[in-house]
Amino acid sequence: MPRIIWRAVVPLLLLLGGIASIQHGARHHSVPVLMEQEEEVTIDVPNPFALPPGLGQDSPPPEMPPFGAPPFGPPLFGPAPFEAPPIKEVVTRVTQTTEDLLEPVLIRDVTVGGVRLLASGELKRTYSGDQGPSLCPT
Amino acid sequence: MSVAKGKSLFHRAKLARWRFWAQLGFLLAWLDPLLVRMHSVCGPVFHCYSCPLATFACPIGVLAQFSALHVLPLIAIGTLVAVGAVVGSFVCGWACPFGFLQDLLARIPTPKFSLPAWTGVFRYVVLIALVLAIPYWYGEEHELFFCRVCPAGTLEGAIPNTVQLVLSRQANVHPDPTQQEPAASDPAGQDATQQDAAGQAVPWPSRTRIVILVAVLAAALVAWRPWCTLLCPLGAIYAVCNRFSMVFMRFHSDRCRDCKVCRSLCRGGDRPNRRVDGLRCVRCMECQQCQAVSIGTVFSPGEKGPGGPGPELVTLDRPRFPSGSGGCG
Repeated sequence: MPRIIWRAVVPLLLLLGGIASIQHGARHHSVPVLMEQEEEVTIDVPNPFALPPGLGQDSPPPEMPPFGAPPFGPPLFGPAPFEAPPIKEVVTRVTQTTEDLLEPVLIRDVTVGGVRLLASGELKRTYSGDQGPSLCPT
Repeated sequence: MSVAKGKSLFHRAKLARWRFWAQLGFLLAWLDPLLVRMHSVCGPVFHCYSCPLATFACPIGVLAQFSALHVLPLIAIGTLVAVGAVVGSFVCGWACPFGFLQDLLARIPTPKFSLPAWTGVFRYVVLIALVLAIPYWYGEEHELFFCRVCPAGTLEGAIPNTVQLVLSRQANVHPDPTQQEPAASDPAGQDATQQDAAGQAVPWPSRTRIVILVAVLAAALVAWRPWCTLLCPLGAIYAVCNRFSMVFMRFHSDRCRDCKVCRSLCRGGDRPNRRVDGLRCVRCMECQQCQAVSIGTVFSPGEKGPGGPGPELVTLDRPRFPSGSGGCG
């Protein structure tokens, strides 16, 4: 009887355990991984040639009527000075998020060296997008 | 009875001859013939996932990488346990591409030496130290991280990728616009980065990796499967599974004539008449040319039920004969 158990039941149990391990790993075993998303955004940068505040860009002091308004007549200094528009600049904004990756995704990532263990103990994905950083992690 | 035995022997010899074609067929399967690159799935064999033609992920590489990440690799463990519970080290003898390469090298007619059977324990040292412990404590940057010294990884991954990179740069066309350069600083070697013809840095395989690969291939000329019998961590796992796999080898003591043919047929240096599933057995089934050795399963175990040794059929799990007797039957 012990030999029957050893030869028949044990491998069957191990087979079932292996299949259960694969199933659990593929469907339920997830690991939190830090991810950095790079996003290009356009921001307005103040023009360095613009006049400082209070000189032509801001509204006049409240005790003074606006230029050209009666009873002062036309403005003394001519039309309002040129207002330089702000500069549009495209910058890359990096946002960090944490996602739970299922084990198959993690396996695929480690095969391309796409996940690192940080000193803090957290996992971090080393790339953004769909393609891994390399074909060989080492 | 003798006719039946002769017919059985003929079938065994025929089955053993199929091993080459089985290895060839499995090799084609591992080489990603459909270009599907299913690297989310662990394969059961020793085939580097960095190979440009790799269908599945290498289970040992996944074990090492997950150990470096401090994550339990349930899929890799489940794959190894499930496959090992069914066929054990049949995978090594019939499906492993790196074992197939060593088998091909062994066909070159050179003097062959036999390694002592106890050297198989080095595989467990490699498994515990290089695959599990060093990655866990020192991470994948350590120069003894298993994938950094793996000869299969060098042959199947590092060299093809380097050649591909050099050729693509010489043609001034990158093979894959999404592929970036591998890490130029390889801690396993001092000369990891050299200049190609175009003056750009090319990450060459480290000197350590090349030396290990050359040593393994050279040893395969003078010894049978040196990597499998000495150092392979995957073979170490499957060797443990041999003790309880559904498909197993049987030794029929009643058929043994003490001719020692089985021992001479075993190229792994095992003694099938003492332990038919030895530590380094890859189940190449060469020993089945002896009528005292056969293959059995838990579902069709033969004459006496699953594992039930009767007076005519004995499965040996431990040495049956005292050391030095050299006989059986």
